[in-house]
Amino acid sequence: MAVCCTLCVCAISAPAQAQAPARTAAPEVIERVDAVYPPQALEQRLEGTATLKVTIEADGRVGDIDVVESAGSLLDDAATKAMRQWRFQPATRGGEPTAAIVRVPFRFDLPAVERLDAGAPPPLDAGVAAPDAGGVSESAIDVTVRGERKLRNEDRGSSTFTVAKPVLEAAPRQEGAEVLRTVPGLYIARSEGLAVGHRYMLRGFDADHGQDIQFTVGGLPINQPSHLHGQGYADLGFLISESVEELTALEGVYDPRQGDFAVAGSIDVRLGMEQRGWAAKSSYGAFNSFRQLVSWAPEGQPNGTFGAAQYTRTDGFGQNRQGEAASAIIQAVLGTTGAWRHRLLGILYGARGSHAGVVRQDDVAAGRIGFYDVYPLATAQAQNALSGRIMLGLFSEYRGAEGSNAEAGVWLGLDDFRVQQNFTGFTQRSQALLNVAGRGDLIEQQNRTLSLGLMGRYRTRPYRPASWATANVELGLSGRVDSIDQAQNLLDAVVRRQTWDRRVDASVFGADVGFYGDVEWRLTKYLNVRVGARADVLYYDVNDRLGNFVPSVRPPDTFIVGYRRSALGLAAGPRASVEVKPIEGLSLRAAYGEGYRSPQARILDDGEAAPFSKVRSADLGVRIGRDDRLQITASGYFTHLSDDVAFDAEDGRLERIGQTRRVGAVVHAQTRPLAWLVGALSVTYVHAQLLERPPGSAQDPQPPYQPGQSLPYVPPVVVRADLGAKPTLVPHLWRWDLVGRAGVGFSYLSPRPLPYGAFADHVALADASVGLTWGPLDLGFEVYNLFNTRYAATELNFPSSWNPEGVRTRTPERHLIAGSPLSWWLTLGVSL
Amino acid sequence: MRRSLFAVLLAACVDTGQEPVSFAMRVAGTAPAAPAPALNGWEITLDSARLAFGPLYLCPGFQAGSLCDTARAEWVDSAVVDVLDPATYDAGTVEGSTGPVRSWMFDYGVVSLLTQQQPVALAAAQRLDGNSLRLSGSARKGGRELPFALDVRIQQVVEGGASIVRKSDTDTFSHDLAVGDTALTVRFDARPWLRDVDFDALVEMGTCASVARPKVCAGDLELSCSDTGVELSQRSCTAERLVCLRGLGCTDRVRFQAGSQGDQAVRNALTGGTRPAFEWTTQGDVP
Repeated sequence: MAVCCTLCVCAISAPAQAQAPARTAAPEVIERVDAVYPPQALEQRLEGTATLKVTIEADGRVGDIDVVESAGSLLDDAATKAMRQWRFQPATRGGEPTAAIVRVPFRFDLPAVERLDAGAPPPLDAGVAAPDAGGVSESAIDVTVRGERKLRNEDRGSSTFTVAKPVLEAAPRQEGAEVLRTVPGLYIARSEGLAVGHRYMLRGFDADHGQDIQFTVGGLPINQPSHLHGQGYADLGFLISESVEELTALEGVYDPRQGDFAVAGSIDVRLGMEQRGWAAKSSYGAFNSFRQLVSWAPEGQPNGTFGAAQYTRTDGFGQNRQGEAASAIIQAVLGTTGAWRHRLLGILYGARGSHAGVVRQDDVAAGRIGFYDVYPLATAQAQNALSGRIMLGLFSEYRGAEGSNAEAGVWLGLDDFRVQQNFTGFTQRSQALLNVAGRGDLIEQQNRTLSLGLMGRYRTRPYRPASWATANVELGLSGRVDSIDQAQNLLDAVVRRQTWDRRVDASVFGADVGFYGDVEWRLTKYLNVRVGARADVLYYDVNDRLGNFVPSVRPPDTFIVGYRRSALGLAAGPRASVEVKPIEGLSLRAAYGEGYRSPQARILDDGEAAPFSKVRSADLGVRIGRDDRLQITASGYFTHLSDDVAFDAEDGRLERIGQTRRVGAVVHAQTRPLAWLVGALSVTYVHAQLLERPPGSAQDPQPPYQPGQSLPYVPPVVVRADLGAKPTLVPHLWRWDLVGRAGVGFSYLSPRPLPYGAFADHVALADASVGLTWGPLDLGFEVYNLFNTRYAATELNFPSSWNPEGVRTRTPERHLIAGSPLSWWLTLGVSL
Repeated sequence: MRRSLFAVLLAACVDTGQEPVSFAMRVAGTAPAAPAPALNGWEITLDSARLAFGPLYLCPGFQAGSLCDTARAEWVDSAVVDVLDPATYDAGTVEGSTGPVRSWMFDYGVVSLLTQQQPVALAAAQRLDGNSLRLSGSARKGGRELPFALDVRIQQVVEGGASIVRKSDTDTFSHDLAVGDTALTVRFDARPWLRDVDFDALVEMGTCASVARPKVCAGDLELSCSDTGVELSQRSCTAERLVCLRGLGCTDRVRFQAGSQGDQAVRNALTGGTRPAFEWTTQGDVP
């Protein structure tokens, strides 16, 4: 069933004035937000028109709202909530802004299956005068907005956050993936050049390149299982910030739809472009950086239909940091009025970048190397990465009768990745070639993944055992197969990248088939209970072509190198949440769930029941706020992980560290006190502990451990603040308004423990932007790292030997990868 | 200062399980209380023993070498140790982190680097003209005295990049590095180093008829012999304050050549024989 609400905003027509009429103009909608059909209303088959009388203040803000025609409290509230988020160009009289009243009918249609078109908009309502202005006359606003109910409730716990476009746009973003910084408790940093994915941290998880966060973009899964560079590797470099419409972050594991890698949580990026038509943006910035964006969003089509392409290049802020990247995103939404809606999405991405790699803190302190420099050695200067990806998806939504609905999708992805990097200098010796050593630890990792996946789910119409109780059942599945080829070698940068050792040469075929069921009970309007469960079967077939290789011990004619093995395992767990709404604007929430993270396939033995990392997560919190003027969320959370991992730079991979626990709290506030002003603040605290001694090894049979010791790399405190203003500076300047904008973003990461008892420095970064929009022209200036703070994008602690002529040190030392100093961008945009 | 204060405050809140440690590296020798025994009843008296020592790695595993890519603590310097002087003196600082150490490895001032074809002599070895050990003394037996001098350069030739002296499975070594550790003293004893030197092989009681050499030692007499084994002349080495050595005749002292039995015996003793003593000093210990 497809249900649309169609609404019209109607004009104000002022009565004739006794005096000579001043020139008047009615308010114009700058930003409108679709009303959401309340699920309860759908289930109760409520429909009707809620007509609002809305005062548009002289500053364009939505003022008083009166319901002049009620469609019932549920629909009235939905209409009012949407209306609060609208922004207007205020009415004017004689060129001066003035308050006005508009009448806005929100029509909520509950169409039958056979009548899926919402029908024509209601007639325009004319003739509501501005309260005291009188001079507002003529011109009607004729706006039709299609509101649509969500297919399902994504709001599962107190730590579910939806970040809408105004907040996403508030602070400047150097690249698309930085919109993720608005997610409470999330910190991202790019430290390995333009072609390697970001490093993520989310509420106590050092998610490395994505191992603990399930990312989806427009329904396409981004994480790559068993990726050589990091389990769950998720490169969001292809994102174009202008095409990101909304983020939904579900922190914790409470929704049965959350699958692999949803350990700290999951983040879904919804794509869409509100601004229709052609647009082009050219940017030039510090370090000879250049960015070109072109986009096309056909008029009259949904926001989801658009195409955008972007090219970026830079010389980089220090030695060996140049790079370039290009990405294109195309999405088409088809069938906006029928029972079926289809969405085609294609993403294409390619990037290549050099990177400087690590420098030792003691070398920097002693002045042996500059903070932004690269070691003057071929093996360091050869570091680079290449990344390419194409993803295609077809997703269909079905809206059946009485709120039943379904989704189905198939997708295809091909990813190519190669990185050459050196963390440790000169510490390696060849395992394959006797007496060959010290040619530089330039590790080359190659990973190519071909993925095919599908998803589907069906949500039943409501079951009503009593007048005060309704329930929906949802059944779903997801599946994917991945064919992965990967290799890791040591290269000699001096001699044409000669391979002087082979470490990995493997093919992996993996499959993940997941099923879930979910029951949502609404017991009166005060209580909402969701109980579900999910089970995933994971299957691996590994052809490890270097398996059983024993360096320099057995004669080569005693066996043939290689180890083929397979493994299969099941991960299952419940997901449940309870929401109590004692009064309007107050929501108390509790949630519990169990999730998993799949293993790196190559670590599995033959026949091994895959040792999944099991995560148990609980949340308890409160959300306050009736509308977007102010919403405050406070929650406490607990997460237990059965087998956690941490990055081991010596091997360039993740190593098991044992059971861990995180206990923390997050406070998030989002406000929009004025139509042109938006702000968000989040503070996350976590106490992340290691619960058992890490597994011993021949190198370290008794790793030091104290019960409850802090987890390495996890910052106890993460703060993020965004503030954006977009006021109209000069109304009707010639043909268009002159609209200004200013934004500030601030991120803070507290000092975090590193392995071997060291600490990383804190990070405090501020970004700022200003801009002007005048009709089709847009001019912007952005400054990143406003205070030119010298900070490390990544800090690690491990032994290295970067002096090929000196005594080798074997104790861990802090290493850092520099973050960017102050940089700026100047942007000129044209839209048609 | 402010940053370090912040780090201290944070460390008070965040327990990382390990803490950085730093303590003095001290070296010492052992005063020879009596002549040291050697093979076949010889007794050794050392006049001088100077040893290049370093670097030293303290490892978490029970075996060092390739299993000590990550050391718990290290002293990446070198120092010349007067092995006959029991006094301890500072040679630098050991840096690392807390936790158990179960093995060690070190070099005698000459290190093998993965990146270099030839081992490199550190400052201490350079002070000994590129050698690891320079010692001199005399061996006595039955009223005979053989002064000797020995220069040994001990370097890794088999496993490039690895330290040459490592704790063996039979060595006892265990310590938990803690913040309270204030010093590690490595004490060497030179007495066992010449225990397996065969001084008998250096002397002889021959005749021209029994030994087909131009010069033959008959105790401290140097005999000059013809090709047909006829004694041509005698020379008293003792009278000239010299010693008569097999194959050399009168000479001022024994100089162990590289590859000789004595040289090899000392090398074996230094790399696989008696180990230095590792003495820990912690806060509260009486200096």
